[in-house]
Formats: sequence, C-alpha cells, structure tokens
Amino acid sequence: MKIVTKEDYIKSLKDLKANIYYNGKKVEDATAMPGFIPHINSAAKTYELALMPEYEDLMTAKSHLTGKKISRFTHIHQSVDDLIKKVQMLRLISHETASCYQRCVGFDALNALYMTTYEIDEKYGTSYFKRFEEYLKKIQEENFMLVGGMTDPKGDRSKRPSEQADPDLFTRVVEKRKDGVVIRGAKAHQTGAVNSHEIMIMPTQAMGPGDEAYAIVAAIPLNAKGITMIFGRQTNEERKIECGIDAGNCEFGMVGGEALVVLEDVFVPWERVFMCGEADFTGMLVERFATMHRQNYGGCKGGVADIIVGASALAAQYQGTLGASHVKDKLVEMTHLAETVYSGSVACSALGTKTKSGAYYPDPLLANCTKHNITRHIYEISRLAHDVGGGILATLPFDQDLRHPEIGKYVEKYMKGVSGVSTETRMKILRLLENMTGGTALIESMHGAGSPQSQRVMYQRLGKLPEKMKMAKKLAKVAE
Amino acid sequence: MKRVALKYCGGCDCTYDRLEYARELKKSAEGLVEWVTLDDEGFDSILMIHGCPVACPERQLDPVYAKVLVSVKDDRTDSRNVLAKLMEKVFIPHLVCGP
Repeated sequence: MKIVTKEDYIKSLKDLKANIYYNGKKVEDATAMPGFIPHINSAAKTYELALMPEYEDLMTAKSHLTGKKISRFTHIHQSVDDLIKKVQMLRLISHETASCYQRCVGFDALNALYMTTYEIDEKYGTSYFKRFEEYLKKIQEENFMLVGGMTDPKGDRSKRPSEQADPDLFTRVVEKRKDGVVIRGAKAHQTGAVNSHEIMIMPTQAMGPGDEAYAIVAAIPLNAKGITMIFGRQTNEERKIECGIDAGNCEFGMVGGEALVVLEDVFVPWERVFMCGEADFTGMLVERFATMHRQNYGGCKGGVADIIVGASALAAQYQGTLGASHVKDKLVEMTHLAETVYSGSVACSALGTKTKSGAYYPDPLLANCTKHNITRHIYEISRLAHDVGGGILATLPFDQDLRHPEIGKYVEKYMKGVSGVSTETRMKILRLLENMTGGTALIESMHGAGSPQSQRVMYQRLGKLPEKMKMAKKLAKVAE
Repeated sequence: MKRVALKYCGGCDCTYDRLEYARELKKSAEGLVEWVTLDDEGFDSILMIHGCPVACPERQLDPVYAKVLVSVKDDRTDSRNVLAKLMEKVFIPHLVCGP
C-alpha cells in the first residue's frame, strides 16, 4: 500500500505482523505496545509533516526517476542543495519530536547503495544498479519505512568474520540458490526496526579475501520467515508504559527504539540482492553509508539541542534564575555548541560532490568531524543543562505524588518556583530535560553512526598529513 | 480577484511564526485574493513566506517569475504593504518569458 498519512503508516504496521519480542513476551500488535508507541509517533511525524505546505519544501523532493513528488526520506541526492536540505529537514523534525524519528538510516542506505551498485556494475558487469533502481521506484511510490541494517554483533573484535568461533556473529550467505540466497546472522542496535517495514542489510565493515560470504546486501521485509526482533530496553523504559509527566516526552520518547534483528536462514530472491560476494566494494559501501549518516547528526542532534536549550531556559525561568549572569552564559555556551554541530553538517553538505552515479555525496572528512563533535558536544550541552536545571532534576517526586490526595499538597507547595507558574508546569519541563540529557539519549550520541574511534580512523585516512608536512617544510624553508 | 500562489520555505529554524503571519495576511486579503499553490496554473503573483533571511525556495524559483514575486523573510514586514504589492502584480507569461 502507498503510505501517505500517519493513519496509513500505523495500519501498515498493524498489518505487517512482524515477529517481535518485548521484555520476554511476544508482541501481538506493535502499534498497541506502549513501549513502541512513542517511536511510532516520532516516525509518523515524518509522514505528517510531509503533508503540510509549510514544511513540504524540506520534507518532500522530486524523484529523479519518475518526476513525482516523494518523501525526501526516499530521495537520491541530486545536488548540493539536496544535501543541505536533508540537514535542514532533520533539524526541523527534531524541533517537533525532540527525539529520533529513525528514517534517516534507511535514507542513507538507499543513497550509499545507489552510488555503490553503479560502481560495482561498472567493474564487474553485474546488474545490481538496475535492480536497485527498480527497488528504489517501489519505495518512492509506496513510501514504506526502511531500516538501514549495517551493524553486526561482531563477536571477538580481534578476529575477522571467517575466523570467528561462531560464524553467524557476522551476517552471511549460507546458501546460494537458483532463485536467491539464504542469509543467517543478526543486526544489532537497529533503530526503528520494530516499527519499520523492511530492512536493508549491508556488510558491517570492509571485508577481505576469505570473507566473500559476508559481502551481502539485500532488502528484506521485516515479516519475512526467519526474522525475529528483540527490543532493547532503554533508560526509564517503564515510564513509557506509565505515559505520564515522568516519561518526560511521553509522545515521542527518548531515542529511536532499537532492536536486535535475528536472521535465521532467511530466503531473499535475487531481485532484492544488491551485492553478493564483491568483497572489494564493502569498504566503499561502509564508508559511504557512514559518511552520509554522520552528516546527519548536526541536523538531528542540533535540533534536539535547541529543545534542550529552550527547556533549560524555562527551568531557570520557573525557578527565578534566568536573569543570573552565569545562567545566561551557560545558555550562550549551549547555543554555541548546538550551532557548531549544525554548521558541521551544513559544511560537509556544502562541499558535497557528484559521484559517478550522478548522486551527490557529502565531504567525508567534515562529516566525520561533525559526528565526532556530537560525541562530545551533546554531553557538554547535557552537562550544562544539568547545571542550569539543578539537583531537582535527579530528585523530583513522582507524578503520582503530585496527584496524591494526601501528600499532593506538599509536592505542590515545596516544588513550587516563581509565582505564576504551576508546580506541574515546572515538573513537566524538568522531566523533559531529564529525559533528553541522560542515559540512552547520551549513549546514542556517542555510538550512533559509529563510535568515536571510527571517526578518528577516518581522520588518519583523510587528514592529508603528508600535505600538511609539506606545507610546513615550505614555510620553514627546509628540505629534509 | 487576484490569484496568488503561496509558498512556504521548509521551516528548518524559523525566527518567527510563519503560519501566524500568513493567517493575518489572509484575513486582510479576504475577498481580494484566491490562494493557490505553485503547482496550480494561472496565478497572478507569488507570495513566499520564509522563516529567515536565507530564503531557500527563492533561490530555486524560475527567473521568469522574479517580477511577480513578493518575498517575506521576517515578521517586521508590514502585511498591508505585502498585500498591496501582491495586488499590483500580474504575471503575463509571453511578456516575461521573452525569446
């Protein structure tokens, strides 16, 4: 079905009937599961905003394949302007959700594959690109939600895939048939998986000789036989079930909602396979996907940081400290950090280049710098939010205490800040701030789109150190 | 009645409430303007409401429409002046396009 509205999206998930487990129990209806609803709402926001004239300039694009208006999340970047619009779109949606809306991973997988399948075909005479274009037309038309499935569990990190004691710790092809392949393994930390329709599995790292079975790219419906999803428990998971003030952001959650996706001998027909054994292209694909995913973070986290700054200012206002010079200075510093990460995303987009396929690709060094800044700046923004918000962020009574017939009056009286602002209002802002600045929200900033070390490896590769040494020698007038 | 194509920017980081501005303008244009979109044909002028001075959609607008464009980039722009400008403009394709 073609997904246009939030209602279409939710119905499509209900109809999917994927095999999902939450806290030891099988989920019969993902759309009715309180633990998933905030993540569904966040992803649904991408459909809702696309229908609004005041947002469509960012939320939609014109398909280069069909000329039709499509969701930008299914678009292949045709220009530097498209790269910038992607970042602007992410900041916009973050302002609406203050959480992760999950669709960028599939978006980046589509773009990375468009470029890479073109170049595989160029070298090997295969037909992956044409096949992929057909798949792309389908997703652009139906507007379904795709998980970008890159991360494998990886077992013993000191060993290559084929050297693992358990070969399934990296996702692999276990059988090639006339009509398709059979895949076994798992994808870890899969953002939005329980409320998506398909997963695009990709190699988790550059593969070498002997690891050809692990060089597999395939699009798989998440209700395919052999797929099991196990939802990851987040910080304050139970508060999502209560869905009150204590959840902080009851409607949209904390981060995307991640799952372990197990692939137990899943059959995939050839028309859905976009790489199979071309190990020499795995490094290129991983690097491209990572670059485009790292490009995002100044947009989405920049937008989330805007909400943290706003909530911190409100928390200060409600307790009468907004006018204090040190508070103003901290808010200024938080703004500086938020705009710094945003400018990184804009910069790597502005310096984007055209690939052989015609699709545009952001500057990889700057994209990596952007994500690396996220692993630091979001922590610093959160630290400052805790500083401004005060210890009350950690000691606030329960929502139910405020509503209690006997003790509610004490919470109301002693949690009160300035006059004219209710205790409940103050508690809501403090809970929002708590939700956005601790636990899973921070860890996602550290490891989402790759851990910090993976960006530093890219600096070593792309940092042009010999050129810099040459420039220094020229200025120092030395030859050795 | 003038036909005016209304286009918003994407709204990534607006400095004011664009919808509120549009509501005010539409109120004062009641009975004078028929609001359409850029996808429609036969409009007399274009109103672009941008959230900031960058004005992204303006950069992508076909130059043939330059003379009938009225662009708003902040809420300090008086909506009565905007309406007056919109009422002055008429898009005549064969005159504007040229050879």
